[in-house]
Amino acid sequence: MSLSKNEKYLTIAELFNILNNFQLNYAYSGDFTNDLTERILSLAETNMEVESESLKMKKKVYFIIVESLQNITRHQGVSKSNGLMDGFFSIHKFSGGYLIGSGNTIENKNIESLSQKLEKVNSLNAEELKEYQKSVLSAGDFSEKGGAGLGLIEIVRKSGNKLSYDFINVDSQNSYFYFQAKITEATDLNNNPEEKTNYDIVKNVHKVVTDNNLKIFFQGQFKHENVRSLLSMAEGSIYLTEKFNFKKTSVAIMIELLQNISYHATGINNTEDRPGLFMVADNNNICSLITGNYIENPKINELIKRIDYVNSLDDQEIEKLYLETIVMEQDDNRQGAGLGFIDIRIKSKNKIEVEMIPYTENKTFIIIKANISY
Amino acid sequence: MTTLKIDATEDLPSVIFEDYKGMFQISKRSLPENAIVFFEPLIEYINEYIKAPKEETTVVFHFDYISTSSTKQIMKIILLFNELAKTKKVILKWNYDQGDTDMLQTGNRLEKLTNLKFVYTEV
Repeated sequence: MSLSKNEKYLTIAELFNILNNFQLNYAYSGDFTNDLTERILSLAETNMEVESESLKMKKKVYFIIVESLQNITRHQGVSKSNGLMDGFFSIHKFSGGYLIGSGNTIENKNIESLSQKLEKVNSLNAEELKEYQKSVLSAGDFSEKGGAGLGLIEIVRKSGNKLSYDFINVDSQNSYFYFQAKITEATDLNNNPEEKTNYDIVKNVHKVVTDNNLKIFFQGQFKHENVRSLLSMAEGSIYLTEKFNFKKTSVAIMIELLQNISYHATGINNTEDRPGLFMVADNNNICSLITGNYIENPKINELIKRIDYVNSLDDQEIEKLYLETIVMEQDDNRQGAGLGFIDIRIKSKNKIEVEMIPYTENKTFIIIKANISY
Repeated sequence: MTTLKIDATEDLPSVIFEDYKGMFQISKRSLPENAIVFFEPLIEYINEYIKAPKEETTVVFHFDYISTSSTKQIMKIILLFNELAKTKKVILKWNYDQGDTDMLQTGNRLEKLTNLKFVYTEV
Protein backbone atom coordinates (compact mmCIF):
# COMPACT_ATOMS: atom_id res chain seq x y z
CA MET A 1 0.00 0.00 0.00
CA SER A 2 1.47 3.33 -0.96
CA LEU A 3 0.33 6.82 -0.15
CA SER A 4 -0.74 8.79 -3.18
CA LYS A 5 -2.36 12.12 -2.39
CA ASN A 6 -1.49 14.57 0.29
CA GLU A 7 -2.44 12.83 3.53
CA LYS A 8 -2.22 15.86 5.75
CA TYR A 9 -5.23 17.24 7.59
CA LEU A 10 -7.61 14.42 6.94
CA THR A 11 -11.00 14.06 8.53
CA ILE A 12 -11.10 11.46 11.25
CA ALA A 13 -13.11 9.18 8.96
CA GLU A 14 -10.46 9.42 6.22
CA LEU A 15 -7.66 8.92 8.69
CA PHE A 16 -9.37 5.89 10.16
CA ASN A 17 -9.89 4.39 6.71
CA ILE A 18 -6.25 4.80 5.76
CA LEU A 19 -4.91 3.36 9.01
CA ASN A 20 -7.43 0.56 8.73
CA ASN A 21 -5.90 -0.41 5.39
CA PHE A 22 -2.63 -0.91 7.25
CA GLN A 23 -4.52 -3.18 9.64
CA LEU A 24 -3.36 -0.96 12.45
CA ASN A 25 -4.43 -2.02 15.93
CA TYR A 26 -2.32 0.24 18.04
CA ALA A 27 0.13 3.09 17.58
CA TYR A 28 1.92 5.42 19.93
CA SER A 29 4.10 8.34 19.02
CA GLY A 30 6.00 10.24 21.68
CA ASP A 31 8.33 9.67 24.60
CA PHE A 32 8.65 6.21 26.00
CA THR A 33 9.31 5.56 29.68
CA ASN A 34 9.55 2.23 31.46
CA ASP A 35 6.23 2.97 33.11
CA LEU A 36 4.56 3.61 29.76
CA THR A 37 6.05 0.55 28.10
CA GLU A 38 4.65 -1.59 30.92
CA ARG A 39 1.22 -0.09 30.34
CA ILE A 40 1.47 -0.70 26.59
CA LEU A 41 2.42 -4.31 27.26
CA SER A 42 -0.48 -4.76 29.62
CA LEU A 43 -2.88 -3.32 27.04
CA ALA A 44 -1.52 -5.64 24.34
CA GLU A 45 -1.84 -8.57 26.73
CA THR A 46 -5.46 -7.91 27.74
CA ASN A 47 -6.30 -7.27 24.14
CA MET A 48 -4.94 -10.61 22.97
CA GLU A 49 -6.87 -12.15 25.86
CA VAL A 50 -10.09 -10.52 24.70
CA GLU A 51 -9.37 -11.60 21.11
CA SER A 52 -8.82 -15.20 22.34
CA GLU A 53 -5.44 -15.46 20.67
CA SER A 54 -3.59 -18.81 20.98
CA LEU A 55 -1.06 -19.10 23.82
CA LYS A 56 1.74 -19.71 21.34
CA MET A 57 0.92 -16.57 19.37
CA LYS A 58 0.48 -14.51 22.54
CA LYS A 59 3.95 -15.50 23.77
CA LYS A 60 5.61 -14.67 20.47
CA VAL A 61 3.89 -11.32 20.15
CA TYR A 62 4.60 -10.42 23.77
CA PHE A 63 8.30 -11.20 23.38
CA ILE A 64 8.66 -9.14 20.22
CA ILE A 65 6.77 -6.19 21.70
CA VAL A 66 9.15 -6.23 24.69
CA GLU A 67 12.20 -6.29 22.42
CA SER A 68 10.86 -3.53 20.17
CA LEU A 69 9.96 -1.26 23.06
CA GLN A 70 13.37 -1.85 24.61
CA ASN A 71 15.01 -0.78 21.38
CA ILE A 72 13.06 2.46 21.41
CA THR A 73 13.75 3.33 25.05
CA ARG A 74 17.43 2.42 24.68
CA HIS A 75 17.93 4.84 21.79
CA GLN A 76 15.62 7.72 22.52
CA GLY A 77 18.07 9.54 24.83
CA VAL A 78 19.76 10.90 21.76
CA SER A 79 16.57 12.08 20.14
CA LYS A 80 15.22 13.86 23.19
CA SER A 81 18.28 15.95 23.87
CA ASN A 82 18.52 17.07 20.25
CA GLY A 83 14.81 17.69 19.80
CA LEU A 84 14.66 15.08 17.07
CA MET A 85 11.77 12.87 16.10
CA ASP A 86 9.74 11.03 18.72
CA GLY A 87 9.82 7.32 19.18
CA PHE A 88 7.17 5.30 17.43
CA PHE A 89 5.59 1.95 18.08
CA SER A 90 2.79 0.08 16.30
CA ILE A 91 0.90 -3.21 16.36
CA HIS A 92 -0.85 -4.50 13.24
CA LYS A 93 -3.10 -7.52 13.17
CA PHE A 94 -3.77 -9.42 9.98
CA SER A 95 -5.41 -12.79 9.46
CA GLY A 96 -2.85 -15.34 10.61
CA GLY A 97 -0.59 -13.10 12.59
CA TYR A 98 0.76 -9.77 13.73
CA LEU A 99 3.20 -7.16 12.61
CA ILE A 100 5.09 -5.16 15.21
CA GLY A 101 6.66 -1.91 14.09
CA SER A 102 8.95 0.57 15.74
CA GLY A 103 10.80 3.73 14.88
CA ASN A 104 13.54 5.61 16.68
CA THR A 105 16.42 7.96 16.09
CA ILE A 106 19.82 6.40 15.64
CA GLU A 107 23.22 8.08 15.41
CA ASN A 108 24.68 7.74 11.93
CA LYS A 109 27.92 6.30 13.30
CA ASN A 110 25.97 3.32 14.69
CA ILE A 111 24.14 2.48 11.48
CA GLU A 112 26.83 0.34 9.94
CA SER A 113 27.16 -2.13 12.79
CA LEU A 114 23.39 -2.42 13.17
CA SER A 115 22.94 -2.94 9.41
CA GLN A 116 25.51 -5.69 9.46
CA LYS A 117 23.68 -7.51 12.23
CA LEU A 118 20.35 -7.11 10.47
CA GLU A 119 21.74 -8.33 7.15
CA LYS A 120 23.41 -11.24 8.83
CA VAL A 121 20.29 -12.54 10.60
CA ASN A 122 18.22 -12.02 7.46
CA SER A 123 20.65 -14.03 5.35
CA LEU A 124 20.27 -17.20 7.40
CA ASN A 125 17.70 -19.97 7.17
CA ALA A 126 16.14 -21.52 10.27
CA GLU A 127 18.89 -24.10 10.82
CA GLU A 128 21.73 -21.63 10.20
CA LEU A 129 20.13 -19.15 12.55
CA LYS A 130 20.09 -21.71 15.34
CA GLU A 131 23.77 -22.44 14.78
CA TYR A 132 24.61 -18.77 14.63
CA GLN A 133 22.80 -18.14 17.91
CA LYS A 134 24.89 -20.86 19.56
CA SER A 135 28.13 -19.44 18.25
CA VAL A 136 27.27 -15.91 19.36
CA LEU A 137 26.32 -17.16 22.80
CA SER A 138 29.56 -19.10 23.25
CA ALA A 139 31.72 -16.28 21.90
CA GLY A 140 30.32 -14.01 24.58
CA ASP A 141 30.81 -10.96 22.41
CA PHE A 142 28.53 -8.46 24.08
CA SER A 143 28.61 -4.84 23.20
CA GLU A 144 27.61 -2.22 25.73
CA LYS A 145 24.38 -1.45 23.88
CA GLY A 146 23.08 -4.89 24.63
CA GLY A 147 24.53 -7.85 22.83
CA ALA A 148 25.75 -8.97 19.47
CA GLY A 149 22.34 -9.01 17.89
CA LEU A 150 21.05 -11.75 20.19
CA GLY A 151 17.80 -9.84 20.48
CA LEU A 152 17.53 -9.71 16.70
CA ILE A 153 18.24 -13.42 16.37
CA GLU A 154 15.52 -14.18 18.89
CA ILE A 155 13.06 -11.88 17.14
CA VAL A 156 13.62 -13.64 13.83
CA ARG A 157 13.40 -17.10 15.37
CA LYS A 158 10.25 -16.31 17.34
CA SER A 159 8.51 -14.34 14.60
CA GLY A 160 9.26 -16.97 11.99
CA ASN A 161 9.92 -14.30 9.38
CA LYS A 162 12.74 -12.20 8.07
CA LEU A 163 13.02 -8.63 9.31
CA SER A 164 12.16 -5.47 7.43
CA TYR A 165 13.99 -2.26 8.22
CA ASP A 166 15.10 1.04 6.81
CA PHE A 167 17.24 4.03 7.76
CA ILE A 168 16.11 7.53 6.75
CA ASN A 169 18.72 10.24 7.05
CA VAL A 170 17.71 13.15 9.32
CA ASP A 171 20.88 15.23 9.45
CA SER A 172 24.68 14.81 9.53
CA GLN A 173 24.48 13.19 12.97
CA ASN A 174 21.27 11.21 13.00
CA SER A 175 18.92 9.00 11.08
CA TYR A 176 15.55 7.50 11.79
CA PHE A 177 15.47 3.73 12.02
CA TYR A 178 12.33 1.82 11.01
CA PHE A 179 11.96 -1.76 12.08
CA GLN A 180 9.17 -4.25 11.54
CA ALA A 181 8.78 -7.87 12.58
CA LYS A 182 6.06 -10.02 11.11
CA ILE A 183 4.80 -12.83 13.33
CA THR A 184 3.08 -15.88 11.90
CA GLU A 185 2.26 -19.28 13.38
CA ALA A 186 4.42 -21.02 10.78
CA THR A 187 8.10 -20.31 10.16
CA ASP A 188 9.01 -18.89 6.79
CA LEU A 189 12.74 -18.26 6.88
CA ASN A 190 13.82 -20.08 3.80
CA ASN A 191 12.16 -17.60 1.51
CA ASN A 192 13.46 -14.26 0.44
CA PRO A 193 12.71 -11.20 2.51
CA GLU A 194 9.25 -9.71 2.30
CA GLU A 195 8.09 -8.42 -1.02
CA LYS A 196 8.77 -4.72 -1.25
CA THR A 197 5.12 -3.68 -0.95
CA ASN A 198 4.93 -4.96 2.62
CA TYR A 199 8.25 -3.44 3.50
CA ASP A 200 7.11 0.05 4.19
CA ILE A 201 4.07 -0.46 6.40
CA VAL A 202 5.59 1.09 9.48
CA LYS A 203 7.19 3.92 7.52
CA ASN A 204 3.88 4.85 5.89
CA VAL A 205 1.86 4.56 9.06
CA HIS A 206 4.42 6.65 10.90
CA LYS A 207 4.08 9.34 8.24
CA VAL A 208 0.28 9.40 8.49
CA VAL A 209 0.45 9.43 12.29
CA THR A 210 2.96 12.28 12.52
CA ASP A 211 1.41 14.33 9.67
CA ASN A 212 -1.89 14.25 11.52
CA ASN A 213 -0.32 14.77 14.94
CA LEU A 214 -1.68 11.55 16.33
CA LYS A 215 -0.29 10.53 19.70
CA ILE A 216 -2.30 7.39 20.34
CA PHE A 217 -4.30 5.11 18.08
CA PHE A 218 -6.18 2.06 19.30
CA GLN A 219 -8.61 -0.11 17.42
CA GLY A 220 -10.08 -3.20 18.99
CA GLN A 221 -12.59 -4.45 21.49
CA PHE A 222 -13.96 -2.07 24.09
CA LYS A 223 -14.90 -4.43 26.85
CA HIS A 224 -14.56 -3.37 30.43
CA GLU A 225 -11.24 -5.16 31.02
CA ASN A 226 -9.39 -3.74 28.04
CA VAL A 227 -10.97 -0.32 28.38
CA ARG A 228 -9.31 -0.30 31.80
CA SER A 229 -5.92 -1.11 30.23
CA LEU A 230 -6.47 1.42 27.48
CA LEU A 231 -7.23 4.13 30.00
CA SER A 232 -4.20 3.20 32.06
CA MET A 233 -1.97 3.36 28.97
CA ALA A 234 -3.34 6.74 27.88
CA GLU A 235 -2.99 8.06 31.42
CA GLY A 236 0.65 6.99 31.49
CA SER A 237 1.51 8.80 28.29
CA ILE A 238 4.06 11.49 28.98
CA TYR A 239 2.22 13.85 26.70
CA LEU A 240 -0.61 13.97 29.22
CA THR A 241 1.41 13.94 32.41
CA GLU A 242 3.22 17.20 31.69
CA LYS A 243 0.39 19.47 32.82
CA PHE A 244 -1.60 18.32 35.82
CA ASN A 245 -4.89 20.04 35.10
CA PHE A 246 -4.83 19.18 31.43
CA LYS A 247 -4.20 15.56 32.33
CA LYS A 248 -7.06 15.50 34.82
CA THR A 249 -9.49 16.95 32.31
CA SER A 250 -8.31 14.69 29.49
CA VAL A 251 -8.56 11.51 31.53
CA ALA A 252 -11.98 12.48 32.89
CA ILE A 253 -13.26 13.03 29.34
CA MET A 254 -11.66 9.80 28.15
CA ILE A 255 -13.51 7.95 30.90
CA GLU A 256 -16.83 9.30 29.64
CA LEU A 257 -16.08 8.63 25.98
CA LEU A 258 -14.92 5.09 26.68
CA GLN A 259 -17.84 4.28 28.96
CA ASN A 260 -20.10 5.62 26.27
CA ILE A 261 -18.81 2.93 23.92
CA SER A 262 -19.20 0.10 26.38
CA TYR A 263 -22.76 1.23 27.19
CA HIS A 264 -24.17 2.12 23.81
CA ALA A 265 -22.13 0.51 21.06
CA THR A 266 -23.34 -2.43 19.06
CA GLY A 267 -21.37 -5.42 17.81
CA ILE A 268 -20.94 -6.37 14.19
CA ASN A 269 -21.06 -10.13 14.22
CA ASN A 270 -22.52 -10.74 17.65
CA THR A 271 -24.10 -8.58 20.31
CA GLU A 272 -21.31 -9.18 22.83
CA ASP A 273 -18.70 -7.59 20.57
CA ARG A 274 -17.73 -3.98 21.21
CA PRO A 275 -15.48 -3.04 18.29
CA GLY A 276 -14.32 0.54 18.46
CA LEU A 277 -11.69 3.18 17.92
CA PHE A 278 -9.80 5.49 20.24
CA MET A 279 -7.40 8.23 19.21
CA VAL A 280 -5.57 11.11 20.80
CA ALA A 281 -4.38 13.89 18.49
CA ASP A 282 -2.71 17.18 19.24
CA ASN A 283 -2.95 20.17 16.90
CA ASN A 284 -1.76 23.62 17.92
CA ASN A 285 -2.42 23.25 21.63
CA ILE A 286 -5.75 21.57 21.12
CA CYS A 287 -5.89 18.02 22.30
CA SER A 288 -8.55 15.95 20.57
CA LEU A 289 -9.90 12.83 22.21
CA ILE A 290 -11.66 10.71 19.64
CA THR A 291 -13.73 7.56 19.87
CA GLY A 292 -15.56 5.60 17.23
CA ASN A 293 -18.04 2.75 17.44
CA TYR A 294 -20.90 1.13 15.58
CA ILE A 295 -24.44 2.02 16.47
CA GLU A 296 -27.79 0.92 15.17
CA ASN A 297 -29.24 3.42 12.71
CA PRO A 298 -32.52 4.02 14.58
CA LYS A 299 -30.45 5.36 17.50
CA ILE A 300 -28.55 7.94 15.45
CA ASN A 301 -31.16 10.68 15.40
CA GLU A 302 -31.59 10.69 19.14
CA LEU A 303 -27.81 10.77 19.67
CA ILE A 304 -27.23 13.62 17.21
CA LYS A 305 -30.13 15.57 18.67
CA ARG A 306 -28.64 15.16 22.13
CA ILE A 307 -25.15 16.30 21.08
CA ASP A 308 -26.56 19.25 19.10
CA TYR A 309 -28.59 20.28 22.12
CA VAL A 310 -25.64 20.07 24.49
CA ASN A 311 -23.53 22.04 21.97
CA SER A 312 -26.16 24.75 21.68
CA LEU A 313 -26.20 25.65 25.38
CA ASP A 314 -24.20 28.42 27.00
CA ASP A 315 -22.28 27.98 30.27
CA GLN A 316 -25.23 28.73 32.55
CA GLU A 317 -27.68 26.62 30.61
CA ILE A 318 -25.39 23.61 30.58
CA GLU A 319 -24.84 23.86 34.35
CA LYS A 320 -28.60 23.92 34.80
CA LEU A 321 -29.02 20.88 32.55
CA TYR A 322 -26.35 19.03 34.57
CA LEU A 323 -28.25 19.58 37.80
CA GLU A 324 -31.59 18.63 36.28
CA THR A 325 -30.14 15.46 34.80
CA ILE A 326 -28.30 14.26 37.88
CA VAL A 327 -31.46 14.05 39.98
CA MET A 328 -33.58 12.62 37.18
CA GLU A 329 -35.11 9.20 37.80
CA GLN A 330 -33.01 6.60 36.05
CA ASP A 331 -34.27 3.63 34.11
CA ASP A 332 -32.67 0.55 35.69
CA ASN A 333 -31.81 -0.87 32.28
CA ARG A 334 -29.73 2.14 31.40
CA GLN A 335 -26.19 2.03 32.71
CA GLY A 336 -25.32 5.56 31.72
CA ALA A 337 -26.60 8.51 33.70
CA GLY A 338 -27.31 10.66 30.65
CA LEU A 339 -24.64 13.00 31.97
CA GLY A 340 -21.74 11.94 29.75
CA PHE A 341 -22.03 14.51 26.95
CA ILE A 342 -22.97 17.26 29.40
CA ASP A 343 -19.86 16.52 31.43
CA ILE A 344 -17.65 16.36 28.32
CA ARG A 345 -19.02 19.69 27.10
CA ILE A 346 -18.47 21.37 30.49
CA LYS A 347 -14.96 19.98 31.04
CA SER A 348 -13.66 20.44 27.49
CA LYS A 349 -15.18 23.94 27.13
CA ASN A 350 -15.55 23.17 23.42
CA LYS A 351 -18.24 21.81 21.15
CA ILE A 352 -18.42 18.08 20.67
CA GLU A 353 -17.85 17.06 17.03
CA VAL A 354 -19.43 14.12 15.24
CA GLU A 355 -18.54 12.28 12.03
CA MET A 356 -20.36 9.29 10.57
CA ILE A 357 -19.31 6.48 8.25
CA PRO A 358 -22.22 4.43 6.88
CA TYR A 359 -21.46 0.77 7.46
CA THR A 360 -24.46 -1.39 6.54
CA GLU A 361 -28.16 -0.74 6.01
CA ASN A 362 -28.69 -1.01 9.75
CA LYS A 363 -25.46 0.18 11.27
CA THR A 364 -23.24 3.24 11.18
CA PHE A 365 -19.77 3.90 12.50
CA ILE A 366 -20.06 7.02 14.59
CA ILE A 367 -17.04 9.12 15.55
CA ILE A 368 -17.15 11.48 18.51
CA LYS A 369 -14.47 14.06 19.08
CA ALA A 370 -13.91 16.17 22.19
CA ASN A 371 -11.43 19.03 21.96
CA ILE A 372 -9.54 20.43 24.93
CA SER A 373 -7.60 23.67 24.59
CA TYR A 374 -4.57 23.96 26.83
CA MET B 1 -22.74 -2.34 64.07
CA THR B 2 -20.83 -3.58 61.09
CA THR B 3 -18.16 -1.88 59.07
CA LEU B 4 -18.62 -1.87 55.33
CA LYS B 5 -15.18 -1.90 53.82
CA ILE B 6 -14.24 -2.22 50.15
CA ASP B 7 -10.62 -2.01 49.05
CA ALA B 8 -9.84 0.20 46.10
CA THR B 9 -8.95 -1.38 42.77
CA GLU B 10 -7.79 0.14 39.50
CA ASP B 11 -11.32 1.32 38.80
CA LEU B 12 -13.27 0.94 42.02
CA PRO B 13 -13.14 3.27 45.01
CA SER B 14 -12.10 2.60 48.55
CA VAL B 15 -15.15 2.51 50.81
CA ILE B 16 -15.11 2.65 54.61
CA PHE B 17 -18.52 2.97 56.25
CA GLU B 18 -18.53 2.77 60.07
CA ASP B 19 -22.04 3.19 61.39
CA TYR B 20 -20.90 2.97 65.05
CA LYS B 21 -18.70 6.04 64.49
CA GLY B 22 -21.10 7.83 62.18
CA MET B 23 -18.26 7.91 59.65
CA PHE B 24 -18.63 7.39 55.90
CA GLN B 25 -15.70 7.63 53.50
CA ILE B 26 -15.41 7.03 49.77
CA SER B 27 -12.17 7.78 47.94
CA LYS B 28 -9.87 7.19 44.95
CA ARG B 29 -11.45 6.41 41.58
CA SER B 30 -14.94 5.30 40.82
CA LEU B 31 -15.32 3.89 37.30
CA PRO B 32 -17.42 0.76 37.78
CA GLU B 33 -18.82 -1.10 34.80
CA ASN B 34 -22.27 -0.72 36.34
CA ALA B 35 -22.56 2.07 38.88
CA ILE B 36 -26.10 1.19 40.00
CA VAL B 37 -25.03 -2.33 40.93
CA PHE B 38 -21.86 -1.17 42.66
CA PHE B 39 -23.51 1.52 44.79
CA GLU B 40 -26.64 -0.44 45.68
CA PRO B 41 -25.23 -2.06 48.88
CA LEU B 42 -23.71 1.27 49.92
CA ILE B 43 -27.05 3.04 49.63
CA GLU B 44 -28.74 0.18 51.48
CA TYR B 45 -26.21 0.51 54.34
CA ILE B 46 -26.84 4.24 54.62
CA ASN B 47 -30.62 3.71 54.59
CA GLU B 48 -30.23 1.34 57.56
CA TYR B 49 -27.96 3.79 59.38
CA ILE B 50 -30.41 6.62 58.96
CA LYS B 51 -33.02 4.65 60.91
CA ALA B 52 -30.81 4.93 64.03
CA PRO B 53 -28.21 7.59 63.34
CA LYS B 54 -25.52 9.08 65.58
CA GLU B 55 -25.87 12.65 66.82
CA GLU B 56 -23.10 13.64 64.45
CA THR B 57 -22.31 12.10 61.06
CA THR B 58 -19.21 12.77 58.99
CA VAL B 59 -19.13 12.02 55.28
CA VAL B 60 -15.84 12.28 53.39
CA PHE B 61 -15.37 12.11 49.65
CA HIS B 62 -12.00 12.28 47.96
CA PHE B 63 -12.07 11.27 44.34
CA ASP B 64 -9.22 10.98 41.96
CA TYR B 65 -11.54 10.28 39.02
CA ILE B 66 -15.26 9.67 39.00
CA SER B 67 -17.46 8.63 36.07
CA THR B 68 -20.72 10.51 35.60
CA SER B 69 -22.70 7.32 36.23
CA SER B 70 -20.98 7.15 39.64
CA THR B 71 -21.58 10.85 40.27
CA LYS B 72 -25.27 10.20 39.92
CA GLN B 73 -25.09 7.53 42.63
CA ILE B 74 -22.98 9.79 44.86
CA MET B 75 -25.70 12.42 44.47
CA LYS B 76 -28.23 9.87 45.74
CA ILE B 77 -26.02 9.23 48.77
CA ILE B 78 -25.60 12.95 49.43
CA LEU B 79 -29.37 13.47 49.25
CA LEU B 80 -29.85 10.79 51.92
CA PHE B 81 -27.48 12.66 54.24
CA ASN B 82 -29.13 15.93 53.26
CA GLU B 83 -32.38 14.48 54.57
CA LEU B 84 -30.67 13.30 57.77
CA ALA B 85 -29.28 16.82 58.29
CA LYS B 86 -32.81 18.03 59.00
CA THR B 87 -32.69 16.27 62.39
CA LYS B 88 -29.01 15.51 63.10
CA LYS B 89 -25.67 17.14 62.55
CA VAL B 90 -24.03 16.17 59.24
CA ILE B 91 -20.55 17.28 58.16
CA LEU B 92 -19.81 16.71 54.50
CA LYS B 93 -16.17 16.97 53.49
CA TRP B 94 -15.30 17.21 49.81
CA ASN B 95 -11.56 16.67 49.48
CA TYR B 96 -9.77 16.98 46.17
CA ASP B 97 -6.23 16.69 44.88
CA GLN B 98 -4.15 19.81 44.78
CA GLY B 99 -4.99 21.77 41.63
CA ASP B 100 -7.87 19.50 40.63
CA THR B 101 -10.34 22.24 39.75
CA ASP B 102 -12.62 19.84 37.84
CA MET B 103 -13.21 17.85 41.03
CA LEU B 104 -13.75 21.01 43.08
CA GLN B 105 -16.37 22.14 40.54
CA THR B 106 -18.12 18.78 40.67
CA GLY B 107 -18.41 19.27 44.45
CA ASN B 108 -19.76 22.80 43.97
CA ARG B 109 -22.37 21.52 41.55
CA LEU B 110 -23.61 18.74 43.84
CA GLU B 111 -23.70 21.09 46.82
CA LYS B 112 -26.21 23.30 44.99
CA LEU B 113 -28.80 20.54 45.15
CA THR B 114 -28.58 20.29 48.93
CA ASN B 115 -29.00 22.41 52.04
CA LEU B 116 -25.60 21.24 53.26
CA LYS B 117 -22.49 23.33 53.42
CA PHE B 118 -19.67 21.26 51.94
CA VAL B 119 -16.26 21.60 53.56
CA TYR B 120 -13.68 21.78 50.76
CA THR B 121 -10.08 20.80 51.33
CA GLU B 122 -7.31 20.65 48.79
CA VAL B 123 -5.02 17.78 49.79
